[in-house]
Amino acid sequence: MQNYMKNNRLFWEGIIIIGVITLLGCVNLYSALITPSGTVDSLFYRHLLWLLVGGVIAFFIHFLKPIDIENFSAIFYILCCILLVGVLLIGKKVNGAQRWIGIGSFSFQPSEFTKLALIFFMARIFKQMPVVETGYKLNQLLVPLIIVMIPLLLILKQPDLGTAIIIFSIAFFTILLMGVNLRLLITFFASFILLSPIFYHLLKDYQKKRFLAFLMPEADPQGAGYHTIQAKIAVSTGGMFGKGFLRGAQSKLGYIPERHTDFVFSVFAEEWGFFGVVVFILLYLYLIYWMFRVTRNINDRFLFLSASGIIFLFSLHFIINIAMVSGLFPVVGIPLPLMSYGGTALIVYLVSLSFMLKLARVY
Amino acid sequence: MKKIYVVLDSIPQLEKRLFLYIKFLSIFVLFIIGYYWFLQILRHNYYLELSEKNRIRNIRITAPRGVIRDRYGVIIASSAPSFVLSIVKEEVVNKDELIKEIANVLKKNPKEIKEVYEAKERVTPKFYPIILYENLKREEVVKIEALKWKLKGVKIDYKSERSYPYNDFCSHLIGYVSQVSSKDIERLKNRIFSTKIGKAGIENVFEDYLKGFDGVTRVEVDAYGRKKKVLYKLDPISGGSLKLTIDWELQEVAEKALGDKNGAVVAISPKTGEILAFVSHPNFDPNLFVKGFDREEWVKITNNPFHPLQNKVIQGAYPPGSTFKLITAIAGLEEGIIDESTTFYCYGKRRVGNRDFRCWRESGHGRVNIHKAIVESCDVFFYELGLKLGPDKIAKYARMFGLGEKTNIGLPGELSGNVPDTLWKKKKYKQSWYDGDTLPYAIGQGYLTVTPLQLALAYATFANGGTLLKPVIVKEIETSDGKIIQEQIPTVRSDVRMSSKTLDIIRKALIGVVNESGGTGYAARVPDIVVAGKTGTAQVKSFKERKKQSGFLNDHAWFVGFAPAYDPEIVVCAFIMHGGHGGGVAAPVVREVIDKFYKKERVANAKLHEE
Repeated sequence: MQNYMKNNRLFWEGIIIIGVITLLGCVNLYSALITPSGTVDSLFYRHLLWLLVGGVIAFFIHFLKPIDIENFSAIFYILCCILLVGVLLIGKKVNGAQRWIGIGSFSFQPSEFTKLALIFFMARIFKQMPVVETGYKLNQLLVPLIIVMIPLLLILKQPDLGTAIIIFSIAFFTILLMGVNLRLLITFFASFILLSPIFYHLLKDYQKKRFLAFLMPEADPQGAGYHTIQAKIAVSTGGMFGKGFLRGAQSKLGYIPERHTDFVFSVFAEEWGFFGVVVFILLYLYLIYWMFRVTRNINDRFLFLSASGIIFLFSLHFIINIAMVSGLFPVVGIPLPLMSYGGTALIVYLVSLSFMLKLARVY
Repeated sequence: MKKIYVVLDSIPQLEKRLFLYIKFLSIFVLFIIGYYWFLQILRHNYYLELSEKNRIRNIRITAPRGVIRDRYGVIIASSAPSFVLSIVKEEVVNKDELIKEIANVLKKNPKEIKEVYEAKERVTPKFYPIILYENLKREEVVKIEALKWKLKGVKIDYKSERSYPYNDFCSHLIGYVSQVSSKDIERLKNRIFSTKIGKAGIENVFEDYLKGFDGVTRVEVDAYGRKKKVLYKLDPISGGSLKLTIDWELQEVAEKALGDKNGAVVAISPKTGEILAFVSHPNFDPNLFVKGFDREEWVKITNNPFHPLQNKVIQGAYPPGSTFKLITAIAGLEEGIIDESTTFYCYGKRRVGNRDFRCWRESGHGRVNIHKAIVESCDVFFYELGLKLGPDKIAKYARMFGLGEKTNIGLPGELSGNVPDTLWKKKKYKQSWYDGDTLPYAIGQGYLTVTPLQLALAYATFANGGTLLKPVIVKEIETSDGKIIQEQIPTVRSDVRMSSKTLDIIRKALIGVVNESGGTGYAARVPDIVVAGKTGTAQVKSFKERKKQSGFLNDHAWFVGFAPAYDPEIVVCAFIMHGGHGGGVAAPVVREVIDKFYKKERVANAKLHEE
């Protein structure tokens, strides 16, 4: 009981840091969605609604026992795979990609759930596998690889390269964490480099353009390089202390595409400047460090791997997104958790954090 | 609490690896923070500039050009609003549909509009409206405004544009404005190439006063090029207006009197040097230069053998014919070679060496004195006088009356004409002067050439008793803040000393030309007003050559007259290219102008009294 009280402090610390970042997300989204007439776009209220829905779901998830989650992970995974097949069959097509399933006026992205489902299911698979001192060899990794390949191929078919990369990275991270044979790792990287021209060839035209635009955005400033240049202008003109809340000209004048989703951080950087950027990054690092502290206490392999996966999920989105917004990384559709608009993703993140909060209380 | 979880020995190792990941992550994040520092602090100014380029547009407001008025305030060149049709590409839903609709309204071929659109699209920067047509008609604008709901993306703006309400009226003096050329851009570094500048005539010379100062609106635009906010506005300052010395009514009469004959008419005040009428024909419509030429219109102008763009008042030098006898006569009297009673005998021709020089009347004038010689324009009298004077004396008097040098009217391309003498011939042809050169010289032919304006000023000099004046075309300039500037004031170039006896003899003779029976300028008579003047018929080719050729190269006809004879207020010079006889063709033109001048003077005075 005393143990429980002590960890209550970790729990409340988590509540506060999550609350601060979520609030910051809302404030920033408000600025990103303000219309020239001074009113805020209805998407902002949708975001609040999603927050409420996600909060309620997370609240109930919080009362599940960790063992339930372990038992439920296979079903969750299979459900996600079925939904992904469903997307390809009856999904909504937006901008040439089929990623959503619509229910009434709402629509959700099964690929977002898949990220979490894969984390849990991989954790479960690896819990049952024996630990190999020299690391796993390829033949020992067959089952986990098949488990990854099914959703990965389904998502690539949509197509959604950004999410596919995340899915692959989650699996890769979990395998690395469990230890992999050094020779296998080297072979993998070598073949990846050798095969990369073929991968490039398989990319869609717009994806190739984005990649080239990343390498030299100034070559086509009105076309493929437009996102990057405009986002860089927004970030840079923020200067040291920013232009102030609601004063970001780049976003207000519509120069930044996707300013409420993937590029929401450019709005933040423009309005709060380098000072704000550093504060935000430190806050986010604190969130990740808090998750690490929670994970450190865990003595169950399933829960440890799940929590590590969630840390990885957050940190990967975070680092790719802020690198992409500043032009350090090519434009891929990866949102910033808790900051970007996006209903399904928000629920997934809230559920993950609820899970972390539960672990903070239990361990 | 029940313990459900089994501790596995692999956990510490997993934790070590996870912590390694966190460390890597932190290094990455530090690196990214460094990059944000680079972007937001070090590269701040660079991107700030890019951002300004992004969202700031300077929209130029062309200053209305100053108007040009005649001496009584009639507007000859105005600034009228011109409607411009442009297309905002980002708002267009269906380009082909839109072009079809525009074609309907403008009654043009959609294919043609599409071509224009595509050509203009190429030269228009992104996010700028594409200017499709300028100078829209008012009814077209009304139609487009009415169909606005259908024509999404179409925008109508108006700008101030030069307009000449009387079309070709006084075109050579006024000149024209048109699009600046690449050469002009180099010269006028600070002015933007979309503007039009004065290219000829008054428009060119007084460009600095007329153009005013363009204004600018600095606006913030969004990503679609839509105006969001006006950041700064500088109103244009309209140009100063000019008041010319031209008398609109007189100019109109002079143009009508000349009709479609090619040549020039210039009327000046001998008291001030002010130019009252300034006609050159064929002329042109300066409005065409403003809007830009059709191919057809341009070909029409360039193929005209009489060069419509040439200002014949100052840019053409022609032999003055018998009108020059004024100078020869004054030289003879002033040099004491003849007096009023000196006579020569005219047989209809004068032989010098083995060549016969004819008088225009083949039967001859018999015994003639100076009065009769001028009235009936006897050539032989002046041959004799010329031989006695010699070329250098003739040249001296010609120059005293301002011939052979520019009048400095201040318009581009003015010619100085040619007053030959022995030295000139030696330089030019490396030959000495022969008597055979003197004879045509004395009657205003041969090497001698003058511009119509020079001749008018020479007669004005005689008319006012010997004051050679500088011509004045601009009475005053009123700047936009109401200041009056007098750029040109009546200026005396030099004084010509003539005895009152000379003045009297010549004046009587010039009155005789118009008023005596047998006078060559009989056609210039005006009721109630005593007009004096002199005819001139300048051979373009010798008799022999002329016979070989067709009638195209007819003589140039001249008449210079002034009125009233004893206190002249107006001098009119009419020159008709290949017109024939001065007395028959040019004198009536002068009559019309002088007649109008006196009718008009009454009207103008009455008007002044009313005010």
